[in-house]
Amino acid sequence: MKKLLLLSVFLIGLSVTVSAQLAPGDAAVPFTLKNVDGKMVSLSDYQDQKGMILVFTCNPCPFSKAYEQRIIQLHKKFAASGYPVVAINPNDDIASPDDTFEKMQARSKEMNFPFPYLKDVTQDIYKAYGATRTPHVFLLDNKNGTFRVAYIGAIDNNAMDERSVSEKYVEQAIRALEKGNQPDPAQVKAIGCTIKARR
Amino acid sequence: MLPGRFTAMRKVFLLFIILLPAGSAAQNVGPFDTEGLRSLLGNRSDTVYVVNFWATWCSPCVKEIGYFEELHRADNPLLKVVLVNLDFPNQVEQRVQPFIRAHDLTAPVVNMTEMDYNKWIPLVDEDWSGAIPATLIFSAKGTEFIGTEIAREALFETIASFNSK
Repeated sequence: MKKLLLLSVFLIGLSVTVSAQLAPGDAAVPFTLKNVDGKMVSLSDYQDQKGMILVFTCNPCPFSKAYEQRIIQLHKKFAASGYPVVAINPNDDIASPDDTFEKMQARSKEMNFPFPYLKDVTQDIYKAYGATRTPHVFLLDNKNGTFRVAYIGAIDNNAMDERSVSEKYVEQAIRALEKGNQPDPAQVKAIGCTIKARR
Repeated sequence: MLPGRFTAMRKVFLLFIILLPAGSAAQNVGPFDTEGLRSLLGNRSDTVYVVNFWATWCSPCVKEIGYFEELHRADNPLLKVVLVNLDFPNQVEQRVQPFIRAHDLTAPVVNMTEMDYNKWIPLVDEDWSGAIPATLIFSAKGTEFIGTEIAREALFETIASFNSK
């Protein structure tokens, strides 16, 4: 018994160090970040929503660009039914000069983003979620006022060509939640550029 | 009159030898898929394969690509370099071919066309996130996966360690 306890303590310690990423089922990490319109946006502002499509994304990554229209479409399709998109840019300005707040404002205007595009200035939020890619989706499910992670990963299974997509992971996950089921798969490796950390 | 003409001719000649190698050496990037990768990874012999995953938009990849070109140019019959390019297939003409010309890459470059990356990423390494640059080195003697940037010395040392395995 004691051995088992020791082993489990060891394993818990190991899992914390190896993967800091939130797992499906975990409580979402609250955030308050500056939007491109200059206003602060918090997770708690969305209390009356059924959930949130939280997307870590950025300006220059070809994968982020390829998904821009699809992220806009996700918002248009699901915001009305309670799953709006909130985009967070996690990249450091110096490591990625195309991701400054001003350039985010320009991109948001150019693409006419119908959702907030927030800057993770301190880079604490992407680290707390364990996002590693752009784009990297965390689908949140609001259960009686507590947001929990329901799905983590890729938007679908073809970044370059939307017409060749055969698995719409985020859409399928939302439809599962709407039916009261857990998304399956609840996690699919996100494909994209690495998040640029401050050096 | 004569010396002038001579100079002009020499200039034309110089221009010719400067342009010829760059123009004719530009290789065509072939398409690559899960099956191609599977068969590449199945080559287990005395030959050490160095497979680098990269893209033109990935600046750390671009920084280290010269090391792989250098390995290829060493012309070692027991060493094969393959550069697996991960730019979108619709970017090959616009971005990848010009990059190859600009960097005078002679190491074979193939472009991954299977866009459902989760189908092939685990073949390279179970724990690989798909982040690039990434390099897989293997022979009949073993496999070494480097899921990060690599310094020139570290790369050359890792390859040397294969030869002494």
